[in-house]
Amino acid sequence: MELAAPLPAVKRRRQIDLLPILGGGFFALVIFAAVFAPFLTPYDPNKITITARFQPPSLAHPFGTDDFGRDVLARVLYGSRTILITGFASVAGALLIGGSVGVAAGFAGGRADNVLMRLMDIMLSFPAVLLAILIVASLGAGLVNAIVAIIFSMIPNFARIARARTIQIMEEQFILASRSLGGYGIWLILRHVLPNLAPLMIVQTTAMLAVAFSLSSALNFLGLGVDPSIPDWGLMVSDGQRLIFDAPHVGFFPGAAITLTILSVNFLGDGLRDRLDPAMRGAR
Amino acid sequence: MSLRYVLERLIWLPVVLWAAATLTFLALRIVPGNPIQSVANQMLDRAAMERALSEWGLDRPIHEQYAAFMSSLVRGDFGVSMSSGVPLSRLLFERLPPTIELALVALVISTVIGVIAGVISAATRSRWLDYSVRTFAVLGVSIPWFWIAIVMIVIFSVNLGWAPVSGRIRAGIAYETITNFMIIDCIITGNWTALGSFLQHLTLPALAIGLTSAGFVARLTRSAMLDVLRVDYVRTARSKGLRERRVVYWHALRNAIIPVITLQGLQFGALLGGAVVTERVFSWPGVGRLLLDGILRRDYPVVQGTIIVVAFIYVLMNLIVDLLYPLVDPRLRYR
Amino acid sequence: MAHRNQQRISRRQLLQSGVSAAGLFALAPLAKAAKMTPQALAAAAQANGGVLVFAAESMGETLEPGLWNGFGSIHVTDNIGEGLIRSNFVSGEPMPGLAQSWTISDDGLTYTFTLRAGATFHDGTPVTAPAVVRSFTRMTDDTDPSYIPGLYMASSHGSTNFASIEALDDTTVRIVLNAPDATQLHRLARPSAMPISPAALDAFGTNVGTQMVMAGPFALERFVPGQEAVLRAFDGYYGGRPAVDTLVIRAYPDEASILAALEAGEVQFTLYAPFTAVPRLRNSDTVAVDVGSPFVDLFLGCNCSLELTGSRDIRYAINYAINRENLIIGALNGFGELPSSILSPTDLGFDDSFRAISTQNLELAAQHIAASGFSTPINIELSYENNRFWPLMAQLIKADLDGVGFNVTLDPLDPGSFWGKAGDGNMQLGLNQRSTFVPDPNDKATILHSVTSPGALTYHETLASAPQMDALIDAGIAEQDPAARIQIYRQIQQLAIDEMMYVYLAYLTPPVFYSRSLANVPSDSASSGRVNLSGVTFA
Repeated sequence: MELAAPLPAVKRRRQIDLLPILGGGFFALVIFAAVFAPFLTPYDPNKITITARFQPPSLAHPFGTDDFGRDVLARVLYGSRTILITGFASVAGALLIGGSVGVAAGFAGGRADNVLMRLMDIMLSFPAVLLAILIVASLGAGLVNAIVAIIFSMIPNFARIARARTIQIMEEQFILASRSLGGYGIWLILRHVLPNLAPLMIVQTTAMLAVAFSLSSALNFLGLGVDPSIPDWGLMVSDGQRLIFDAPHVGFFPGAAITLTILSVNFLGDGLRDRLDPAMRGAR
Repeated sequence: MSLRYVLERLIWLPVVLWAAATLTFLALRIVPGNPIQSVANQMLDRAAMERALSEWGLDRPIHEQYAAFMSSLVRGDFGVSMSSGVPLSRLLFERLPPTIELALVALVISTVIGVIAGVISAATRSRWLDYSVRTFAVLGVSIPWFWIAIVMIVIFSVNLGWAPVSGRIRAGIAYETITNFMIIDCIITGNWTALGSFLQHLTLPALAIGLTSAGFVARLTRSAMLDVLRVDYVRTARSKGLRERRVVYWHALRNAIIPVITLQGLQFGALLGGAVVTERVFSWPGVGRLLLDGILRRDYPVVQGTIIVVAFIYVLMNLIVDLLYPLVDPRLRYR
Repeated sequence: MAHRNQQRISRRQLLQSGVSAAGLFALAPLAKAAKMTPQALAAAAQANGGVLVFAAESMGETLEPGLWNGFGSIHVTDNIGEGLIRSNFVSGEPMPGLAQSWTISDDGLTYTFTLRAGATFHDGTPVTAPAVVRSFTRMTDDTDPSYIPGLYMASSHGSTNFASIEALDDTTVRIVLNAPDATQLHRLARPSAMPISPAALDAFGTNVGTQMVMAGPFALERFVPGQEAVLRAFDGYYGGRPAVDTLVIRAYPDEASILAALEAGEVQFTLYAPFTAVPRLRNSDTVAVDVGSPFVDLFLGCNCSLELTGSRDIRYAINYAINRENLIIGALNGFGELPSSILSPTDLGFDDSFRAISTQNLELAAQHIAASGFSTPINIELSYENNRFWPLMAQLIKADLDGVGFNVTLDPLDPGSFWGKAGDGNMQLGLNQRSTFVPDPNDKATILHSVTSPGALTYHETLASAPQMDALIDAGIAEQDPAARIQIYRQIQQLAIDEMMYVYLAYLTPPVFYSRSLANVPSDSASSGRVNLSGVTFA
């Protein structure tokens, strides 16, 4: 592996990174689909036509039809609403709670750090599956409850990553310098920790979005309730898995939609990260 | 200093385990259903069900059940599965080693592939290489796990015939169980046929997990390396010769290793109880399926015992990860 | 220079990886499985030492027959075990098993069995009358070394009705009942009634469930709890050594993996592959599919103790709203028959005249809704286990019910929560099935009994007709004369239809999948879930 390249980072900075643009474009499409779904397809996503089941992709049904002859394209279009809500609500919740816990633990250190992180250990060792059952069984199989289950299972992850990076930042020279100059608490966090933490957390957030999507479809795959009357990509993929040999289009299109959406969000996140990077700010 | 830190962490261990066990105990009693009810509907009459409940002590008040659970736990007794009467020690002996084997191999795969891909992506001058690594890193994490698993089966098992679909070993091959770590047992007994078959069976599930988490590792590595490369080290490197630049790259890589170790430590813990999907698709006899089946059947002792053991290994892994930090990066001291 | 080379390589790599990524998603699933001839498959199987792999949906943690451990464990027990009686699922007759012959006293209370000479357990000890008796008494005797709490399955073979069971001599077993039971012989064919070697019970104690020693055609060689059982053909089996050398029953929790394993030649027999694969497999050179018999009832239980579903008009409205043809096509992929009543077409006394009632009739549905007095839309919750074909059924039923004025909320649950909720009495509508464990109508009718099977999905004990139903069911098993029994079971079906606590959806006729390298596959009885592969040979 050739590591001795001449100044790669500097050079890259001058190039336009295409991926965030592509990502942004696709993501705009997803939002467009979510808003204008009823105008983009003539089909009702829940209309059952048993005689038209398992039709392969055609002009009339570009993505084919499923077990009940429902139009897969219509379900994918409507399903974008569900995925936007589930994905973003759950990741935002986990980032907010987990990130705060991690920064607090890393910043405070000592006993507070220990208590907070052991709390995270407890949460992590508690299986997400049991948590999901607990929530679904007591609250029902709705969208909000799925989001709550996903948030809880992702909090410790954010907390640990945030903590590790916070400690690292704290140890770095400039914090020590500020501290010796009399900087304290909140100001230190706002001025030095958060900006330095942001790039890593953005990468982590965009990556966890994938986990959030996977988790909601995995829960259904494992037989833990997700209400099937709302079109949902994760649900469609897990339903389509048993059809992979005989009607692969049923799972393929929503699967591709999930994958491309996550891909685009991640590329967007990369672009955002480059903008927020404090080192970059200095360079401009 | 460092010894004190380790001791302090170790003191926390039983507290974490107790809390996990207690939470699990409570959660199981809150959710509807009990170990007998799911068979009760058609298999037995009410009298038989009530007899079974009372024989397992499930008709007693919750606090008494909790006291009984805690007192046997303190004695190191995980109890007996209420749906099958099999001691948990036996179930864990059967199910834990396959999961650990799978998780370790998957971890090695994801670390090697992820770090290499991340470094290439961060250090290369080729934009296209960077793009493709980044694309694949995200693809790996964004395709639903069971979909990757089944597609791998379709390609490599059904179409190409390179690897078996499922299970831990080919049906009908004789082998001896000593530690139930197949690699160790096969080497001890010199059973190369079984070892070969085991490795074949291990390949697809380990790749399915390894490749998906390699995406995370690659992204973290790339991001952490760029952090360093962008800051003033680059300036330093620019002003100096090639040798120094190489030093900078190593520094950048070392910087990347901290989040990677953190992530992999977490991943290993998560894989112990959370590889359910992969274990399900590949019929891998792991602890994730034991836990899921236990939860679905409301088999209280199975769920409680499994979670305690998984939590134990998990907390231990975290401790090891934290202890590794200063070794990797001497700037970080125990605090 | 070096630059440019690197760039070119990376582009080519990108292209290659791009193509393989596309293939990962699109091409692979569409590609056909590698072609293998039946001869090649059989040769491969023989080379593998005559190993037959049976893919089960699950495997229990134990083979203890006194507990319900799911169908995986039942499949193992059905191949390693042998009861006094064997049930013939096709003729419905009890056949000699370990008992060569038997007599029943005129009052129907005393059964005397003469054991087959020369039958042995897998450990070589003989199957004697005391050994048989011990297998029964150990489940209710908590001083037995093999006793574990909750061996509730004993009641399914009738132990609660046993006044006594004793060995008269080494080859004669006598069972005296408290009350006559026409289905008692079949009960003795159930897995829980299969004798276990007393030597093993003493040696392994409470761990006998993972080291089971019985007297059937295969002996247990290795058991991995929750995963698989490896069985070896038993030389000493009285019926002769099975042709298949090694039978592996392995849990495949995932349907698609079962199909993949079947097509890769890794699995030779299964009941659990996705039904959707059948049209394609019908043209396969390697895999054969037979259609099973309608042993299994699928139904929708209505909780009669709740206000809404307690209304008979509401139950009838639901009954008339559901399009069964759609259910059979859309959820069962055609593997079902239109329903009639609680009994299935394979049962004694089955009456198909109720098909006219168990069918969609939107006009009658509307009339019953109007008569019920509830104003539309009527909110109602439909609960089901979130596995197999249940989610598909639930969605179709929701569409039908919504169409006649209900507003259905779907309630997908894990099995534990499903039965927990049912047990708490909070479930309005619940989807479920009833399999045939033994070929006797009582096997299904008994779930309507208010004393032995209260609660469940319907809470039928709250109906005014409950005593009448109990009397009929009791009469059905007390009566020995088949002609008289037929009359009783017709009345039971009529009463169940009148009350409509269960809305009948379909009879499942599950496909049986097996490799063309196999011959003499018992597809018909296998579709009941009771699978004995001792007669199977490699073609």
